[in-house]
Amino acid sequence: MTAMNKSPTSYGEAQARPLIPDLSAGQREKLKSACSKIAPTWPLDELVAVNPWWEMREQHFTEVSAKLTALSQAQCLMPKSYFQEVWMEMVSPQHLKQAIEESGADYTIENLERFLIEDDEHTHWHNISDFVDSGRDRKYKMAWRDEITHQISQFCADFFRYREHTASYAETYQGLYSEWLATTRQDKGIEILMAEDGLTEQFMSLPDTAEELVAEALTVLRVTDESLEDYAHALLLDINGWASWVAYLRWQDRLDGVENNLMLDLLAIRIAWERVLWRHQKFHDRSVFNELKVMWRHQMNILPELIETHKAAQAKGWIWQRAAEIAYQSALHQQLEQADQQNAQKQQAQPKLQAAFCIDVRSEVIRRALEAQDPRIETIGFAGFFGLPIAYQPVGTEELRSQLPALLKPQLQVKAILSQETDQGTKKSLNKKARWIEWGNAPPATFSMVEATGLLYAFKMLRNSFFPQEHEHPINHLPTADAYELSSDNSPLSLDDKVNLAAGILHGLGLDQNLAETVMLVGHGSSSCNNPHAASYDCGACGGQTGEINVRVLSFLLNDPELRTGLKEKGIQIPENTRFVAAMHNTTTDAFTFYGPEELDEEMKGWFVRASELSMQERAMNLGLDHLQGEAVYESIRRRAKDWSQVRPEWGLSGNASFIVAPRKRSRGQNFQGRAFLHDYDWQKDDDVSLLTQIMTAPMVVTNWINLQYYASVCDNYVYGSGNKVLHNVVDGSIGVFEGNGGDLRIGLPLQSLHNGNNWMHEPLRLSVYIDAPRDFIEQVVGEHEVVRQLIDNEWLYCFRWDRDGTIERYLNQSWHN
Amino acid sequence: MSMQWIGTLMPWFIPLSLFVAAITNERRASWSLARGVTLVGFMLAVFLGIAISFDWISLSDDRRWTVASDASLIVLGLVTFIGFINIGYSRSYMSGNSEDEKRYLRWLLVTLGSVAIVITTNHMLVLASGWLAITLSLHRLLIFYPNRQRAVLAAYKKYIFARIAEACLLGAVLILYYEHNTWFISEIYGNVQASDVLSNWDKFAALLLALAALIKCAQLPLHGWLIQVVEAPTPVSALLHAGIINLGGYLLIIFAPLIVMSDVAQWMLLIVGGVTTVLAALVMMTRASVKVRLAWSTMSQMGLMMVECALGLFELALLHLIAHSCYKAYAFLNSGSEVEASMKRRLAQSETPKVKDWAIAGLVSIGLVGGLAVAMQVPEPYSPWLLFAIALTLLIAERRGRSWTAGLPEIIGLAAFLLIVYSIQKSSLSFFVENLPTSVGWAGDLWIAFLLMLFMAGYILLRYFQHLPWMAKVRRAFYAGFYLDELVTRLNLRIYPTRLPVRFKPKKLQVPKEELYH
Repeated sequence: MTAMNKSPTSYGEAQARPLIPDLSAGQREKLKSACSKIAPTWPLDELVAVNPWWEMREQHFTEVSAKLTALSQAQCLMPKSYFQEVWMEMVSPQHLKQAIEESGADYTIENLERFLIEDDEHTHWHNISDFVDSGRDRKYKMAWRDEITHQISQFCADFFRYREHTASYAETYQGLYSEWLATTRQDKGIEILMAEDGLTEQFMSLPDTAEELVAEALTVLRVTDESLEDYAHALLLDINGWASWVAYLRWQDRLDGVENNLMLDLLAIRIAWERVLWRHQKFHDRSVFNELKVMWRHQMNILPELIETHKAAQAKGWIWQRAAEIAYQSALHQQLEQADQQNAQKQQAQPKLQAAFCIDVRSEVIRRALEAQDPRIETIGFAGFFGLPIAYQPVGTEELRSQLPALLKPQLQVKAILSQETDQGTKKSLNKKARWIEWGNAPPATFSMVEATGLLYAFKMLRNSFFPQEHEHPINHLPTADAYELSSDNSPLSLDDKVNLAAGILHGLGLDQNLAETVMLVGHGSSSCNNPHAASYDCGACGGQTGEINVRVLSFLLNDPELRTGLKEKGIQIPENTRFVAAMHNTTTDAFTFYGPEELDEEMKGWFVRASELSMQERAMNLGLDHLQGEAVYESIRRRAKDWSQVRPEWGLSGNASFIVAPRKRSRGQNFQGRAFLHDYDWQKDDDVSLLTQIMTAPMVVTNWINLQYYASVCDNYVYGSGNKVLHNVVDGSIGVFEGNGGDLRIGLPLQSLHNGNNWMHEPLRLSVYIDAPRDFIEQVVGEHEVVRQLIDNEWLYCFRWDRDGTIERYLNQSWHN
Repeated sequence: MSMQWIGTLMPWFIPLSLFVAAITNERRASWSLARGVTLVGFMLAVFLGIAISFDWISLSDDRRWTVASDASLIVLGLVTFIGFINIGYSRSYMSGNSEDEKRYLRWLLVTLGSVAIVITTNHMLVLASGWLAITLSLHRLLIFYPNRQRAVLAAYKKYIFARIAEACLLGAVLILYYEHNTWFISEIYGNVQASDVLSNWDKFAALLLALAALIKCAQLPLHGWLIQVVEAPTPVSALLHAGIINLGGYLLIIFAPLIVMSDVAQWMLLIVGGVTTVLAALVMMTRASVKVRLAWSTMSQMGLMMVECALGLFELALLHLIAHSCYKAYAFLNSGSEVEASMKRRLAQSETPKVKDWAIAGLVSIGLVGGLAVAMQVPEPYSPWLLFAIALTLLIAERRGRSWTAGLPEIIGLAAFLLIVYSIQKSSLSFFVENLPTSVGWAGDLWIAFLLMLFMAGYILLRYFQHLPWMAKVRRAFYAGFYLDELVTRLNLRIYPTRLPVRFKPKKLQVPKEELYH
């Protein structure tokens, strides 16, 4: 049937290569802008949370939402069924009314209720491949959309395999497009699979470089300048997973100050498919093609309207979203008012223990439990990397592991001071393990490995099922020490530098005066077995690692007498008998580990034991252990950490909804249900607003990333989450996962981190930030930092001021609202 | 006498109890019961094994209904063990929605029960119907998430191949019945072994059996489904790769005499199995995702098992079946640890061995394996020993890391230890099955040895000479699996079209034109 439409002229056209046009400056600009819209995804072994809309923050959230839905059906709002569920349960008419008032629209509650049961689906942008699919006999042939995703994804999985890092990723992975072209030209499989004879020829005539290809494709497809940016964006969203990986490589290069244009290569690959299908259609089914051509041109004309349609359709959804947020905020506001009243009456006791925790929402639970043990316990909230911009080099390896927020580049290298024997011994055992794994995987050896040692695996299965061992992380379980060597660019850090570093950190922690005898620096980490996303439960501020190294290094520094003398000269007095103790909080089991040469006294140990138990009891409910009592609860929770079949070891940061930046004494005693990030801050000790600037440009951004990662993974797990854990298939060790056999690379959080099988365990709410600072402090930071302004004014988060007198007001668009 | 009666009845209890456990899942998934049933099944299998070896129960009656051969008990023990582990694992792994849990456990138990039927029975018709029941119930697990397009496509592909395999099996069964006038496997085993030549019909039956086994074991070119069904939950893959796919090997073991007397069947197994072994293993090397690697590896391991059967090495085939099942079940269940395994490799990267390393390693390995062969007067075929020598060569040659190199004596010690462990396990299985001389004889051995040499060369080229321009091309072909599956899939969609589920987030593909031109 198709053969009849082949005319000699059309073949002639395919062979005679037209002159390749150049990209105009305007086109370049638009392509660049489209390429910049994709946020990165980090590898599995350093999986930090990312706000998937970060690179679009300069637009309002609602605009971004409308555009993404129009272009690719990505959802930035919960479905109607979700709001049906929360209506009259968590969200009451009063919240909804308030949300309507705020919006200024003339909706009524009836309008909005009707919206929840109305069916109002709208069409969305179609790429050429979508159009071509609609004309396909899908009973006998496979869909293009999936095949294209599959083909690009399989290629990328191979291309982006681990390689020796050279000067930059741009260089390491150069030739993305040309390698794809070579592979695809050789691939006879697509033509066979898709039952499209003559398809391979279309690949033969593709230009050799990415830029030429894009230029040619834009000409062939007659893409207008007005729709170019959105079209390119839509294509990248079609392979959002791999685009996010490329964005990660770009992010890393940018930290090193290197330009990275891999995204254009990826776009070229995707647009090459469009161009191939377009021409294939043209030569094989002219009548279908003619229709396609008209529809395609028309679609470009109506694209702006299309986006507007979606925006209008989502307007009511945003009111519902706002109402849900108001419901949370109004309860929190009440709680904060109460807190002030209660805490005003309390006497401050002289602290016996000061413990600094990460701002993580899980710290809120354990801090509250610890404080409940004794009034002489004081806790502090601070970003879990404790201000150390370090990369850690584990003993016996060449590895350099970043231990700081992904936004930053490590400045210092840290190495444990260990004996030569330990170093050699570690090298030996690491080599043994690695060689054994590689031998078992080497094709000619794998049979003999199986025949000789196969039965051993029966015992391993028995052991893992009945006598599970504590989980051992390949790096975290390497020998380390209480003493460290810090260096910068391969030369040891001078005492002066160390003093300055320590002084800054102590000032940030508010520990430059009134130190207790024991000051504990508590990092956190999780433990789960057989879990590709394990790092997502670790400390985001430490780059998806546990905070162990950071707290151990910092306490080593602060216990150093020489350094203390230096600090004294700077006016920071650390009492002689003050001791810094590094500790780790295991967020899965709530267990504490303490480091350092000296034992804690019994009383203190008791506090921590009881605090863990209290915290476990609180978490038991959400873990579905409410039928158990006492010791059985603890046992069950500890077992989760060792269970190789456990897909929900803990709930991580789900539930997170607010970020409170204030002295702890104002919020102490309040139960924030593990939903609040807590950062200590006293504006009276921040004359130059430098601390607040730091908080609003770093921790606040990190909390926004975490908050919107959870938000996005719940709203649209297909695009922004990684789907069902029981289907996960790890790609090249650490790049990410496929769900099942293939498809796009999956980013974000798995369903099992968010959903217990019956209900969502995370309520998607934008972060509410509460800052205890004068108006002009906040205005100054927002005025000076465009990023912060964008986050606030484009409503990616809420910025509230929690005044000392209890007033709470919101800052938006350079003005204060009650 | 009563003991004898219990002995023949007891095996029935295993599949039966699994089925009963399957239907008691109406209200909620009864994980503990399911686990208990598999444990009891495992203990029964062990008990039967002991009882038979101490002659409390005798397997001399050729017209018994259960236990086709001693190997059946071993495989039965294996399958119930894997089932036991699998159910325990699935309990938390699959937890969540109770409807899903029930559906999952029900079909898991039915599948296990069907496997147990195939393994316990001595009656060919029961065997064939159990075989059918496995694929039907497994199908429900493979499309456990029915809206996953690729899962459905792969499951349907498998569905078609399974029907072909069943047709072959049923054909063979009927032919054997008419030729030997008995439905009992052990009786046919005895009959054939006693005779010198096979009738033409018997040869045809042997061919059909070999075909059924090859299809069951996902050999080239009907392998695509096995790779693509990693779309199913991890424990389903574990069960499939550890307890179901190897039934092809079991089939050849219980009909061993038929196979070793049919040239055609042997050559088919040697060629298809041999080529699959080599190609699939090399393809595995090029794949990036862990489960897909494991699937290619299974194919290639099954290929080797086919080859071992065709060489008459049934004890080795049985060892391979068991060892591979344990290994693969573990590897799948533990596949989430891939992130850490790759971290371990990255922490101590390898160093390319020098020519000298290869030479020393080769000599030492040949010395070790040859020495053992001479000392133990190992009979032919020799190619499996060659394979072991190749493996040890790799172990010794590739011992170098960038920052540490294991000492030569140490690694040779390890090699010797592995060799000894291997030979002990191999010979202990001769207690259950016997090796048989084949009609093809040394020619088959030579062919496999030839393939193995190619294999080694292919490995070295793919691993160490990737940078050569022509190797890049070869590698791409390997990565694509030689486009074999694409052909099969297309053929499949043509013969047996199926409306695949719409992808999870469909663009509205048929856009009403009015909507577009509003």
